[in-house]
Amino acid sequence: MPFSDIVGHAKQLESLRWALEKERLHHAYLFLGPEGVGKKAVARSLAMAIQCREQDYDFCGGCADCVRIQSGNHPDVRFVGPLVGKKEITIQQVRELERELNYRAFTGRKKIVVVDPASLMNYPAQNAILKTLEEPPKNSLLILISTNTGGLLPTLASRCLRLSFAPLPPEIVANFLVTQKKAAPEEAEILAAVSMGSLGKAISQEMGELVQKRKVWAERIHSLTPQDCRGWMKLAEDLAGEREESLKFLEWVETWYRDILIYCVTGNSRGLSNLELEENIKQQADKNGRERVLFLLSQAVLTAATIRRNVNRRMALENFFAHMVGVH
Amino acid sequence: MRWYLHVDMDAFFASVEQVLNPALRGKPVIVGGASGRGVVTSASYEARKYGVHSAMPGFQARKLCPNGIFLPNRHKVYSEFSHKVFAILEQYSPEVHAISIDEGVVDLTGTERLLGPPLKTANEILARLEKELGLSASGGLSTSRVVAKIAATLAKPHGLIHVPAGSEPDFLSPLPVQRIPGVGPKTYEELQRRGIKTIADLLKHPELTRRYLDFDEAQSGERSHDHSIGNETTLDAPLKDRKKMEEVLWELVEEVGGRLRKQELYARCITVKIRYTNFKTITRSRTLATPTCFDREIFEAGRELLRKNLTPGGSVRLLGISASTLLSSGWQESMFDIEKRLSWEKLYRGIDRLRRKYGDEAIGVATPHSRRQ
Amino acid sequence: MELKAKRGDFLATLYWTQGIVERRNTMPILANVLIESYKGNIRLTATDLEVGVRGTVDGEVSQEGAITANAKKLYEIVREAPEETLQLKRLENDWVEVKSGKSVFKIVGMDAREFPQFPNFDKESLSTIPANIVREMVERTMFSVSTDETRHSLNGVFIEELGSGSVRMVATDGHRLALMERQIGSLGLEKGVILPRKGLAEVRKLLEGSENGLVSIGFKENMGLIVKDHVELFMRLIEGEFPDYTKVIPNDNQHVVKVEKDNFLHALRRVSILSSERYKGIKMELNEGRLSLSTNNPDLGEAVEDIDIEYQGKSLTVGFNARYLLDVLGVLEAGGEVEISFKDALSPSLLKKAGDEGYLYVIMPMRL
Repeated sequence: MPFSDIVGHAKQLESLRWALEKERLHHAYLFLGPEGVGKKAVARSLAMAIQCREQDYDFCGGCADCVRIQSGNHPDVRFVGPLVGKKEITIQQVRELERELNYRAFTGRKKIVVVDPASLMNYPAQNAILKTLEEPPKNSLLILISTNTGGLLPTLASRCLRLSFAPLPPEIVANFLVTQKKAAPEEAEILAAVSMGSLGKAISQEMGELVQKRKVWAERIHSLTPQDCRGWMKLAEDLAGEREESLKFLEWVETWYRDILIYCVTGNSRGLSNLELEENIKQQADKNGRERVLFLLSQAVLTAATIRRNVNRRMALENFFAHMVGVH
Repeated sequence: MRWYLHVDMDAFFASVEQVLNPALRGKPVIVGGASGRGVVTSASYEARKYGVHSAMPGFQARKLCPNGIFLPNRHKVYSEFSHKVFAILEQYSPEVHAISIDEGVVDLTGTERLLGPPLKTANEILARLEKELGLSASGGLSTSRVVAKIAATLAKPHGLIHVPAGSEPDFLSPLPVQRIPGVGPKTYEELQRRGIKTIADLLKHPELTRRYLDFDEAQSGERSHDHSIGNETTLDAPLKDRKKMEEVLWELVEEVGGRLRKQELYARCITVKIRYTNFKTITRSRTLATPTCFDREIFEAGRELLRKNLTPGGSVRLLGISASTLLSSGWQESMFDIEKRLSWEKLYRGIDRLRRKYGDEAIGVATPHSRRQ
Repeated sequence: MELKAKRGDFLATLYWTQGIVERRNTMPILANVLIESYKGNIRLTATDLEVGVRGTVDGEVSQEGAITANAKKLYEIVREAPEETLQLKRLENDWVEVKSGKSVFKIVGMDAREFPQFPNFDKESLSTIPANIVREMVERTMFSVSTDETRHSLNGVFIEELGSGSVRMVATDGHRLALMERQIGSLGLEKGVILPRKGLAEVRKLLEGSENGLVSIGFKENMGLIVKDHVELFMRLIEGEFPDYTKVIPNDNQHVVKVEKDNFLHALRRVSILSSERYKGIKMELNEGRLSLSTNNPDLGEAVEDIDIEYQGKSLTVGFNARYLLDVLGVLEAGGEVEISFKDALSPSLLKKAGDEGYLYVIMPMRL
């Protein structure tokens, strides 16, 4: 049952299992990888494998320990994240976690703490956890989860053993959707592509909506012409209504240009995120050169950044479309 | 009216070598950069005529001054001389702040009654440094530390500039902004972009003046009532290896510990300063459970701070350590290390006594790592 | 699960859970009390994962089973129940129904399997000890536990068996140390363990007012258990090694002073009126026939008090944190004498209650 149930990440799981069996588990790990690819699932599985008494170096999933871990109620397996309504993990939480680790295990073999996402620890919290990473209490295991090392102090990241999680191959995601979520194969293929290797994203409602939206978006930007400035101004106005909406649009635009670039270079549709819009992508690739696409891609990123800084959204988008049609 | 004398030793390391070996006097002496990879840490004024200056790569110095006399860094020796320099400075005021091994600020505020006019005292100090130690120094005397420092730098070599109260703007105005301590290449660029080239230009912008030129003595006011004893040094060659940094740290610590014990002060707070080659500077402090003046404890605290705060792979050009929150009494002793501390007290008392008698070279304390030759 | 019990009994046992559940909010199950009914026994358990309390309730079990429900709400419901008898039943969806007279409550519950599981201690593995001895040992050592959260192994009281039935409890924060030794028989401890301060605070509550009576104590690898009457108190042991405290207990303090405990306490209290957080030291001057206590606080003023003593030894001046002296004097019984021995102004001093070889208190001086 066990480890093999997790989708993908065979290498990481194997190395953890091996370490567990040889009793060479490190006391602190840093799991890095895009959102939704399964880092927390692996952490949870490792916790179960450690605490489960029904199996050696693996977990059964049904015993009291396993059940408690899965529902977040095991006294020796703690998941630490920002408290409800808060955006950061505070130093208070780190102190509490330290206090916890300095007790002997409640019933389990080890005391395990998973911090997810570790990048939300504010500066004092990160500083405080350094001490625990350096002088780990006996019988404890700390797993930090993050998308990248950007939000983490270098001195913190260097004290953990890193385990990288790559985006899952689309086939695996699609397969999961078909077998576990009863999705239709074509739909599964598209969802797998749009989620870019993140299982978490693939099953989220957002992705379904995104697939719908992007068809519309692709058409609308296709219809923009340099002469009809009213056209792109209207599009900017429509998108600018909500901040989230404009950011989602720009995020999608990045994948759009990325796909066009891929097509430019490879000439085929492998690895495309906007699979169902292949025709359109092909056209764009033929029309524009790599330089132009790269430029537009960078403009999209810039526009998103300015919108995050709360600049006038409509103007930022108008400016971007002006670039897109080649008016600038 | 506050008075600060900023004392800056001229070509310190090179001068010390010339004092120790009279045959070197008048010759172009270059310390550091002897091996292919190092940088020059000090160049005598004779060597400077060839264009050699500190921080220059050794190979370049060799090209410019082929018959220069290249000597290795003898940090212990320079440290000992530094002690002697500060010993003289400390005779004139209890408030002596060591900025580095060859630079310090003497707070002469309120010494007029006892010592006479500050200018006379400043002269006397510089004269004594030359007469008793054979070392040439330059000084800047003014009503604020930053002006005193700028004046000292301008006075080099072997000079003393006195900027009387009220004449600071006149003195500073014609100078280019780069003369202000803390204005590095980046800041200079920014200021230039705003059309600010001289300090006169800067003075036209009060907020910027406040930011870069700290006339306000609130900062040092704090220091004089709760001052600190510290030392820092620019490394010969930037270091990435923590163990090597610890060696340098140890030397700084010995100097600071000695001064603490001399003043019979214990420090509760140890601060480490790290400056990377990209000029990013951080200071990190640690408050000790029991105040200390023992080299070993100060070193342990400093070493911990280094370990925790060094960016892995970072290249360090300057290290400093400082002891603050100084007390002579009023703290609780701890039972778990009392034995250790009592034995250190004996140990360091013995060491200090011998040092006073025979100089630093006479006695070496077992340090965690092998010492540089 | 279905059971019937008397309101008063239920409430009395539920009472013990109230002080424990309010502390955490990280795991929702911890806000609940576990209700178990097996083999005619009804048990209520609550925990905050550091300390756990379990009590039994007399009653009738019509159907075995277990469920958890919000401890605070359940307490309020039981407290306000109109009749003397209560009926509890677990419903299909894990809700709990409480009936009393004409009132019917249905509260949201959580599966009992979510609740942390405490280890089972055999009754035979527990040792029985008089309650007042345990209370005394706890009170006389607990106050010296370190409150510094970074020194984890000092955040509790160390307990070890010395063989021949002697048990020792030691607590220290690095500045003072309290040690109490009593003959209470074997506790089954192979190696000494560290009891958390929180747990001991609950023990104190449990033993409050009970001068007579017995308690049962036992230890399993990670937990300690103390049972009084129908209430079981679990406490998690602290991970880590307690420092070797024997090294810091002085054994060659030559200058010994005997002073009447109450006199000393009151004099200290008076003199320390003028000590403050910033200046908390008091000076003790030992001279022939006289002990002088004084404070000198630039913010507040000075105080001096002399006590007559029989002392012929060397003159000595030592500084102490007044609080550390007041703390220990406060836990010793009234009357009698205390014996304080000194070595010098920088070494640890030793305080004992005259006539009690089983208790000692070490205190480090302040440098004045």
